Amino acid sequence: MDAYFRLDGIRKAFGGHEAVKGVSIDIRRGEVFSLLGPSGCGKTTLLRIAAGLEAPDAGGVFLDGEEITGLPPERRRINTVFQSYALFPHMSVWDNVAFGPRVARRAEAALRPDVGRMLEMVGLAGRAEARPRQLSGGERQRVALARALINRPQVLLLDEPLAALDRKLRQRMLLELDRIHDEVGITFLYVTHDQEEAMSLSDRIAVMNAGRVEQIGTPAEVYERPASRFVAEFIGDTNLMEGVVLDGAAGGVRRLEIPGLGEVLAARGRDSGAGERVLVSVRPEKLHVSRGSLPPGSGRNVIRGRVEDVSYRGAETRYWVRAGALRIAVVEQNARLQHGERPPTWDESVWVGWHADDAFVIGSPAGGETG
Amino acid sequence: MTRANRRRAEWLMTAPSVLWLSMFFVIPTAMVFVMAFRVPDPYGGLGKEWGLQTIEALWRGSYGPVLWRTVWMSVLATMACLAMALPVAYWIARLPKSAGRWVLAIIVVPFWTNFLIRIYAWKTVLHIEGPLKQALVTLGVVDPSTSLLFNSGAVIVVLIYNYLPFAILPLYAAAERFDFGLVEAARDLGAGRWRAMASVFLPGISQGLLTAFLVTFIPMLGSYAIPDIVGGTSAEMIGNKIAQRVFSDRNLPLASALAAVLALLMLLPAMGLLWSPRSASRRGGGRGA
Repeated sequence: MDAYFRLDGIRKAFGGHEAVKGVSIDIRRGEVFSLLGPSGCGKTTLLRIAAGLEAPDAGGVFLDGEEITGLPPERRRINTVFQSYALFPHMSVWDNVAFGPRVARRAEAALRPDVGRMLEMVGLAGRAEARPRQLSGGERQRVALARALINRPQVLLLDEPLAALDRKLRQRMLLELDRIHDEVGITFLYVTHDQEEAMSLSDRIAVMNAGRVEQIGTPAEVYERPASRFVAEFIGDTNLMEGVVLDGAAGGVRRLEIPGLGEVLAARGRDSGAGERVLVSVRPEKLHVSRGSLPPGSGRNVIRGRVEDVSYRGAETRYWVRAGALRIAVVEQNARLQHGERPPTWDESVWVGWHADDAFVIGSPAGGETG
Repeated sequence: MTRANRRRAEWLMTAPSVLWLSMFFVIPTAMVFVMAFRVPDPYGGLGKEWGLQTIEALWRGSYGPVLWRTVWMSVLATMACLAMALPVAYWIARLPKSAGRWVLAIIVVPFWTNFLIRIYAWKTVLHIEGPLKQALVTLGVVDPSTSLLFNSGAVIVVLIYNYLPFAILPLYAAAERFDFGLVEAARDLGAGRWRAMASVFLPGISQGLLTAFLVTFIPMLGSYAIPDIVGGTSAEMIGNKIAQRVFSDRNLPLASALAAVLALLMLLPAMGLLWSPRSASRRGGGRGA
């Protein structure tokens, strides 16, 4: 696994506040890598360090085997799509896109076809003469993209590029970004706080929290096998149950005692010895709620509860079921109900079931020290 | 509201400012222009007759060199002001807000001292036996016989000193609103520090540059006290000539004619800049994001 773009042991503090606390990331050539985390987790600082707009207090930046930590932004073959787009307001769309090649002293005649091709790629060939303020948010975003890509960077940095767009447009631009990435094959480093964006676009994701990387993995890995309580809670919704391990066969199904629920099986996650206090994470869509008793089977957990809240969302319905001290979230797809079954409603007594394979042990309730 | 009613409302609302401008600007300026076509009476007042005597006197009076000196000294001093104000404004705009306010205050506070006192202070500084001259002689930079005072150099230095804050303030106002993310974007796209400044920062504060130019250049053209105190006869400006016509010769028509020439001199570049197609289109479209 070759690291094409490497951030190594990066630290950065601003006036006593440590924004990035020793982050190391290896990004492969051609992949879409996301830094995902809440605002203030240090992801934008990391991106600015990658761009050369900020110097790290410690650590190094390496691109294609060469250290570029000390290089100013203009000497790095890295370009950025800024969150505010930072289009030059006094220049036309054409001049904005042509800025990079012109600075690189390319002849007008030589850069003209390139600018034309870029504008075509982002679907703005007809808007070349417009000024940035005459464009819609989505169009500005695409100009910013074309302006960065025309320089054929080795790495393209994207800082929350879709944050300013409305939901519908954001989904279209996500597909567009995916298509453009396939077309140009450039390594993308994508910063976002939106887990949906990160999940649908990325090959791998680094989930960041408070200046540290909590987990690096594919979207499926960080979703299905969260390394920490933070990751489990930040990526999607989850039910966290606190319990004590009764017997911890390594690699096998663990038996846990959860106060108020009784015995529960969890097949995956962190190895833990008997007597240890742990958290078990179960995603709401892995749970099922039923008025009739659920068919028992090996490795199935079934508990009894009462529906506290029901929220119909079109494609799915969300239930909140009270079971002992726990409030369990369940998501059911609104597929056709079989055998004339009626969905559970408010204040009904129900069965909630899930498979041990979908229960994931993530470590001690204190969170954080998950190794 | 009908269209006619709206028109009337607009007129009513603009009437006070139109009235103010006509009373205190348009009418006096017109009077200056008109007075140039009167003849002086022997007692220093205005004669009853009309005539072109003063216009002829303008030609005969060899005001050309003075006018030329006024223009080039003002251009030079304005350019120096802008060149010095630009980095200062940039620097203040990049400071934290509270620190920036302190620096601005430090720049402005000396100007609470009376204008004339500050010019006389320069006379002391530049005096033959003044501190600056002594220092320069000691360093061997100038000959003991040279004078730092009573020449165009002295006038330009004091003009720069006096108008520098007026150049800094509008440039700071523009730089403070400027989105420095654009400079970062330019650097990111491969532009070096200076290229980014020239291609993004300067166009971004062009309105401030224009304002700074106008608020320094125009008053400089009309300078009177500064060349009078530190300039001497070899560095007279058109303002001194106007003053001499008023106070020594008591020739009000000729003074008016000179003032009118000066006014035209100021008006033309200002008009040219304000009504240039570029700034007109910018006004039409509003400020860019």
